[in-house]
Amino acid sequence: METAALVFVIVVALGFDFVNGFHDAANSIATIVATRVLSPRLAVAWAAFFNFVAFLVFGTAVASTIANDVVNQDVLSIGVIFAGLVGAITWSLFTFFLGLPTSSSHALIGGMCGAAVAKAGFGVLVWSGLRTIAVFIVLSPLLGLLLAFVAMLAIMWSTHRSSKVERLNRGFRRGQLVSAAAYSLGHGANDAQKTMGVILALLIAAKEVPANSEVPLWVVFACHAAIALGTLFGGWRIVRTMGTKLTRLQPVGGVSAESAAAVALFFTSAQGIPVSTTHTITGGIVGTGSANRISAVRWNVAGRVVWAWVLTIPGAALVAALAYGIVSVA
Amino acid sequence: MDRRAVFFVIAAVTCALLVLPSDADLRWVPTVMAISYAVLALLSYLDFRSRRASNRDVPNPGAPQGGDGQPNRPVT
Repeated sequence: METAALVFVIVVALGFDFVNGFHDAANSIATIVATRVLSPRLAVAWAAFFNFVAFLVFGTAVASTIANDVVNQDVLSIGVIFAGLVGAITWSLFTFFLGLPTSSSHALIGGMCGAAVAKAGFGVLVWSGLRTIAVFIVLSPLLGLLLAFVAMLAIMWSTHRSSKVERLNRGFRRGQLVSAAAYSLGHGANDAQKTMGVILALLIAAKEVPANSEVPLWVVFACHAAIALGTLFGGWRIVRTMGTKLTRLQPVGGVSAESAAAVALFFTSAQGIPVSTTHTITGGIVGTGSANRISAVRWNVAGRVVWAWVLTIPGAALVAALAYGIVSVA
Repeated sequence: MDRRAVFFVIAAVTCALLVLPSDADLRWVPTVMAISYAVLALLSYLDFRSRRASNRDVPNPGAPQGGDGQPNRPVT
C-alpha cells in the first residue's frame, strides 16, 4: 500500500515538473521564433534539448536545499509531501485562471511549509534556509534586470557608431541561439531540481534512501525528461499564437534578456538557491526595456509580480495545510 | 522627474535592506547589487539632466511663430 502511495506521489511530482516545462516554454523560445531565427518546430526541440542536458552541467545543490533546508526531515511523510504538492498545484492553477504571474517554485516551497506546519507546528520550519530563499525571491528578478540593463547599455554603446545595421542584426539573430540555449539550460537546472528535491524528500520519508543522501540518478533523469517533455508539448501550444503576440521583439533585446536571466540562473543553481525562472526572465525583459526608455516597461506587470511575491507562499501554504487536514483524516 | 532614476534608487534601497538577512557567505550579492543600482540611479539622473538642458538650448520647431515667420521674442 505504501509503495503504491509512494509511486503515485512521485508521478504527481513529475506531473508538476511537466506542467512547469509546459508553462515556461514560451520564456525560452519566444524570441527565436518571433525573429524567425528558427522555425517553431526547431525552437521547441532546441529548448527541450537544453532543458534535458542541464543535468550534465549542474549538480544537485538546489534539490538538496528543497529536501533539507525548507522543513525538518523528521516531519516529512508521504502525506505531507502529497499535501504540499496539492497546495502548490491548486494555487498555481487558481492564480493561472486569475491571470496572476505567480511562480510554481514559490508555490512548491509554500506548499511544503504549509503541510509540514499543519502536521507539527511552526517549529519544523528551517528558518535559515527559508530566509535565503525569501531573500532571493526578491533579488533574482532584480539581478536579471540589472544584468540585462548593463548588457543592453554595453551593446548600445559598442554598436551605436556602426553603419552595418544589417550585419549587426544578423549577428544578434545568431546570438539568440546561444542565449536561448543558455536560458533553457538554466531553466532546466533550477526548475527540474526543485522536483528532484521533492522526490528526494519523499524517498527519505519512505526510508528508501538514507537522510542527507544524494539524488539518485534515475530521479535526475526522470525530472529532466519531464520538464523537457513539458517544454516540447507547451511549445507546440504556443506556436499557434506566436504570430500575433510577439512581433515587437528585437533580436538584440532577446539576447540581452535571455543572457542576463541565464547568468542569474547559473549563479543561483550553483549556489543551491531555488528561484523563480519566470520572475528572473521578467526582470531581464524589464531591464532591456528600461535601457531604451522607461515608458517601454509595462509597470502594471511588474506590480503584479510584486503581488505574486507577497501572496504565493502564504496562499499555497494555506491550501496545503487544508489538503493535509483532509489527507490525515482520510 | 526622472522615473528611471527613482526606480533605480528604490531597487538600491531594496537590495541594501536585504544585505543583513542574507547568509554571511552570500552577503556580497545584495551589496554589489545595491552599489550598482545606486551608480545607475546617479548616471540615469545625470543623463536626464543633460538631455533636458540640451532640449532647452534647441529652438522648438513647433513653437508659435511671429507674423514675420520668426519665433516670438520675449517682451522686454
